[in-house]
Amino acid sequence: MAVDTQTIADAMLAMVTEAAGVKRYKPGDLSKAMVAKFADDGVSKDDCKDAIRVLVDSEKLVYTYFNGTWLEIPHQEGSAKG
Amino acid sequence: MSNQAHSSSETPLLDELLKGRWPSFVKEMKEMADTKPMVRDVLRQLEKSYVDKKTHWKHGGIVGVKGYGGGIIGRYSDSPDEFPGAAHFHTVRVNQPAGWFYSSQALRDLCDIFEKYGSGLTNMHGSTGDIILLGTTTDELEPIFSALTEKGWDLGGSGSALRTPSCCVGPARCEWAMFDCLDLCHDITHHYQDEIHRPAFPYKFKIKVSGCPNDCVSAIARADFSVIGTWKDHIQVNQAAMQEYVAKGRNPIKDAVLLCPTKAIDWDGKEIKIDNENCVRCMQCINAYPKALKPGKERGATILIGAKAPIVQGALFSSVLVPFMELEKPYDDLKELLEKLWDVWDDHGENKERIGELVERMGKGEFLERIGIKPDIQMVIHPRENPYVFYDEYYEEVDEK
Amino acid sequence: MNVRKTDIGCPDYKQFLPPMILKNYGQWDWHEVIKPGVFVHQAESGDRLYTVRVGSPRLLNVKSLRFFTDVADKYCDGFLRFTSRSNVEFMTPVFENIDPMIAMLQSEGWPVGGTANSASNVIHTQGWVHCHTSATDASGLVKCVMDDLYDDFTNHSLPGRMKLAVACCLNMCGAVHASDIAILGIHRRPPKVDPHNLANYCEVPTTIAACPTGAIRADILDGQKTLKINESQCMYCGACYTACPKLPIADSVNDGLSIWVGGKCANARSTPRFTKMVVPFIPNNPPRWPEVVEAVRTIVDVYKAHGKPWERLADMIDRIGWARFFKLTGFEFTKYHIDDYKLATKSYNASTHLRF
Repeated sequence: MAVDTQTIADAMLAMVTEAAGVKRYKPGDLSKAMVAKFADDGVSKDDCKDAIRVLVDSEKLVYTYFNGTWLEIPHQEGSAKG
Repeated sequence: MSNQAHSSSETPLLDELLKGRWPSFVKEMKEMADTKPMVRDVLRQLEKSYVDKKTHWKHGGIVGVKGYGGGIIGRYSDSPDEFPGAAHFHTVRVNQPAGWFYSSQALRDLCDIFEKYGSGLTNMHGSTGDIILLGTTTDELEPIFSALTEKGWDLGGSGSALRTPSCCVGPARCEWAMFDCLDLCHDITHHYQDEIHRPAFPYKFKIKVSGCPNDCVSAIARADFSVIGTWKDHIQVNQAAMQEYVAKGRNPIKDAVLLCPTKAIDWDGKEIKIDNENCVRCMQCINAYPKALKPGKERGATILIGAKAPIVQGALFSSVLVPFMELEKPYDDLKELLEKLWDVWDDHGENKERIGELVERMGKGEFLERIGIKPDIQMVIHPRENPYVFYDEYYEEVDEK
Repeated sequence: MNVRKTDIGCPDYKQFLPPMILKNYGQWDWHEVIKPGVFVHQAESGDRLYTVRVGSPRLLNVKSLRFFTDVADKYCDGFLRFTSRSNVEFMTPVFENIDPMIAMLQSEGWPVGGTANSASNVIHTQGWVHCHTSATDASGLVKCVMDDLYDDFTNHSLPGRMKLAVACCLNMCGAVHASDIAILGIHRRPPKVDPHNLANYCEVPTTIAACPTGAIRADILDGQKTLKINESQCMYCGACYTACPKLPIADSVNDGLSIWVGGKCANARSTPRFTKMVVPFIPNNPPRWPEVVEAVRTIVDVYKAHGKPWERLADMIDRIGWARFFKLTGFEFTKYHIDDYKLATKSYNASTHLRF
């Protein structure tokens, strides 16, 4: 592929950041968006998985689990606020 | 027992559950409360639930271990000022060994870890099959994870992921295991670590493996992907052993013939006769006469998909997808099928749509086409009753020859 | 600092198999129940393995687990296993170990049983002990029901297998939809919105999205964003409370239990089937839930009196009919017993097959 994992990761992070507080994305939503966005570069679902792993391992995004699993910017959750 | 010390004080309603002959979960909790302030507060909170008849827990949705999207379930008290020890009380799901066998050393290792880093309370086991550590705080999650992996344990699944696969006792201690359930369960658990730990599906996906149609892990009711052992050839009959049963007073007419759902078995007073072409492999006669009747030798499994509990579209049992599959290491056919299913589900499933609901919405015929499996009459109870058929093709008059 | 390990999976089960199992793996010939709670499995080699099964409350502390390991060390070559119904199984090749092992287990209050035609241990969920959407306490109900069914757990007193389950809400983490007798916690009122400061605790759009039936709408209260629920659309799943702690579904007055019978998972004789409702509502009555215990006892007694050998509850009801089952149990049949969801008409009696 012509784009590297970091480029996909950056694009995913931008997508999540822009929608934060309004809309959440599942990992599959991000992957589908990236496969479409980088269609000319032949980005695959597996490339997207790698990008998600980069984002999560570096703690730029966290998995959250409110009715299904989502990828979000790290934040304090409502239930933890007493 | 040290129950008396508490019964006059903080939890009079729960103390009623120390009475009676069945082992008491309250006793299990109280024994830990002596040394664990968090358990004492959880008990006090539980007493409050018994007084006002409602739960006092809130769901957490973020806490976990670094890099994983599952294995930890966040739980918070809704009254942390009243019960500070219960403020965080998160669950840790630990992936159980196949068949739930343990050495006492391994179990003691787990106890030591659970006591050091958490409440010292467990569920053996959770509904999906994991070992459950019931209760720890956010700060202890990374330390407990390190301690577990150091001893060879890893977390199980949660969220929109492959959930921890589980299996029956299988060939370890059962003559009816039609394939190596434990090996298959262990193999897929290891093969799909990424799918377990990094949720990427539309919703949860459970795999359960039962060695025979008695289905001791309820795969058909509780798993999206149910692997249930079966055989293709004839039931093996040992007439001498049968006659021995009869000599000891057993009655094959009552225990087998009248109970056979397809009237496929007969007993003439001397010999068992089986119409194997009409046998549906229900196990009744084999269950009743294990020394005389055994499953055939051409063994494998039926693969069924789609079971789930009611939310949202109603409860479903799994239904037949592959009537018979041989299961030999490295289980390539099964893995190829699983990955095809996940692909179609990933492309077409909506958020929180179980695969059984997708099959229902899409129609089984259409679903089969997408995963590339030919329709088989054994996938349905009967052919369709309604005439609303959407044919793929029709011809204009001019096309006719 | 050690390198952080991930994705190592579960440990290899082979290291946890007792020597006799390793030797006879996949070579078992037959098995029998010797007495309640005790099996013998014979291998083709002629080896015999004896298993003692005890019931547990599922919620176990480390002291109890350590006691089990002591039993395993003393009698079972240092190995043990658990079953899918939270029983503990102790396996020994030595016949003479059975009785002293049972004595050791019973001396600490562990019941031996749960085999063949006995009441099974109860599959159950977290309840008030640890769940945020529970409508009741699963552990408490199980304790009360099993205190009453104790002799049916430790004896083969029933016509056939009887599997019990409790789930504390209709998300059904327990297998209540396919058990012989099932107790299901139910909510009867939609969550009450605590509008004060809601947006500070919850994301409004994502909470709206969490509702599977689209019953939640945004609202404004005193100039602040909050939420509103269209009550007729709610099906009490608690998904919104999962997303937002300001929408609690727990309700002291309206939560309670329902009782269901006639489900099964095994394929033996009849095909697997779902449970059917027999008691639509019993209020929560902790700590001993006497009305629930009595209803379960009624069902078990009818099954004992009318079930034929091998029949599961579902098979018995197939034979005697639902009308007679309701007559025998004395349960009232109401409009709530008639299905009104998808495919409800499949459950209407479209025949003149009636019992008078």
